[in-house]
Amino acid sequence: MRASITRGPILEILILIVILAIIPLALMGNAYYELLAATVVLFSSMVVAWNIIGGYAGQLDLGAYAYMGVGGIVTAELWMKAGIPPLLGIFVGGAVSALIAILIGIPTFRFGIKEVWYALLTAALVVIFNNISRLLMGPFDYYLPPTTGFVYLKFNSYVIVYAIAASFLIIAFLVNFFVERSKMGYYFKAIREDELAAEMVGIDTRRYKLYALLLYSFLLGVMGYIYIVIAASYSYRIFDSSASLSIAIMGIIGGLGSVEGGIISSMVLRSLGEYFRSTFGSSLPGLDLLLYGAVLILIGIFQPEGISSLINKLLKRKG
Amino acid sequence: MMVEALLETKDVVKRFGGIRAVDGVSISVERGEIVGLIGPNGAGKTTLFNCITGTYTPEEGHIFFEGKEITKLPSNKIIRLGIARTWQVVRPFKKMSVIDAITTGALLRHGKIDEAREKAREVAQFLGLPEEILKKRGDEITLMQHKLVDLARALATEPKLLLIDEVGAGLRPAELNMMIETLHKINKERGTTLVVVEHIMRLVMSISKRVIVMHEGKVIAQGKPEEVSNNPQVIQAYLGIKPV
Repeated sequence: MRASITRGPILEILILIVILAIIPLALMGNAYYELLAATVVLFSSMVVAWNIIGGYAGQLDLGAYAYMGVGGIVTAELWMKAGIPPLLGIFVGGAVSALIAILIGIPTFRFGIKEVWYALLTAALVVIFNNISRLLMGPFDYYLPPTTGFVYLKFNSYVIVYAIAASFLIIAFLVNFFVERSKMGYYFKAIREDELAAEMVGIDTRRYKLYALLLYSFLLGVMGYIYIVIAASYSYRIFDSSASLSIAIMGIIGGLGSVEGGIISSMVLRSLGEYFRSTFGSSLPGLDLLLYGAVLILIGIFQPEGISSLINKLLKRKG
Repeated sequence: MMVEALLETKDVVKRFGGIRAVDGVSISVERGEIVGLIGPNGAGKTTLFNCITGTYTPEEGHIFFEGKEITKLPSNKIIRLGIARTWQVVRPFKKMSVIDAITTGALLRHGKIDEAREKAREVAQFLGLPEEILKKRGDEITLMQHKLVDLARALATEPKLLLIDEVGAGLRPAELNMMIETLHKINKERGTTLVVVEHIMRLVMSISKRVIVMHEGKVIAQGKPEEVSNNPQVIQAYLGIKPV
């Protein structure tokens, strides 16, 4: 029992690292593909972070890009206005995101907003942030300084940007791993399964939902700056509702509570989506979204518990 | 000398709109007792449970547990003091394994996963849940097993008082006998005080030394099972006619 617990993560992490290391080799130095790979892997790490609140704690949060955007903009502004290097700034960005999440989370959970209402509230958050930042920042694109270097987390080579995104994915994976095996993980899942029953085994459900929100928003806030580095600039459009929605969609397609499922669904579907966008983007815009929707419907019909249950079935058949 | 009751409610009132679902209920439960709480549908039994566990906050009255007022405490604090409950309709953690669900209960008093898991195993064994069930998921077991898992999850929090809501509903006669034995065992071997809401008279009458009867939010009778079942007011409440 104990042996399998300690062996489990090492094996899985090794597999993850090997796969993440092979990807850039396969791209053979094509900078465009490297940038795409960084985008996909960063997207994947956001899905993995989402798994904490959506997968384990069962709160259908659609506000990922609100927290990601705030963290990213705070980090970038701190660098440009106050000279604080992003290597430090990303943690401030994460902390600001987490603070905002807690300020919103306390009344939300206090008044028992859950299920579809929680989904609507968090979806609205992205729209609200979009409008507020447009008021504050105007309709402009802000470009990061051309300076490169490790403390700025900015590089001339896209492979290194990719490597940073990949390390975020590994960190998010590890956080999930430790959460799942802790008291918190048990409590999150109990809340997801039946909030009243969870309350009746002595869980302070409000407090634990806040913990889930805190971890998730902090991770996303830290990731925000890399999103900006990949895009090279930022504006109010970073608060993108449909992209935010797709984070939750990937988590659901992957299987709630399954990190592996989330990684697979987000990597495969986002890559396909990017391919569609680059190939048909001008003639058939929105085809990538159509793809997500179609897969969501198919999963809903044939595999309601997501890709992860499909994997489990295949593994069981072999063993 | 007055012995302090384990649980005491004083004039508890819970209203829903114009209906007084619980209307001035004062009961007391002694340590180590098994009390049956009976009454026709809509008598307010489950609502009273919900008031005790903090799911509802009563509008009037006071609830004391071990002499400490718990009336306005949040549920998690009340549970921590030593009250647990089960429901008429089981509320399983469907996508968790059975052992994980019971462990969740045990985590209340054992912060380490390993210790909580050990406690969960002990409780499962005590209730006679076989080892192969423990690995199954919550949506793969039978109703009787569900009821035992709900009981195990509640017992894993190590309650002094366990409120059991219609545990007999939906069970076959043989299962019902097992359940009666199990409840006796919980009371005797773990010293847990039980308050049992039940419609199945065979269950109530065979396990409780004292029965409290509720009707339309009020307590209309209490006493030994045989006294209560001959009480004209009780018969009228159940049958709606005056006994001849």
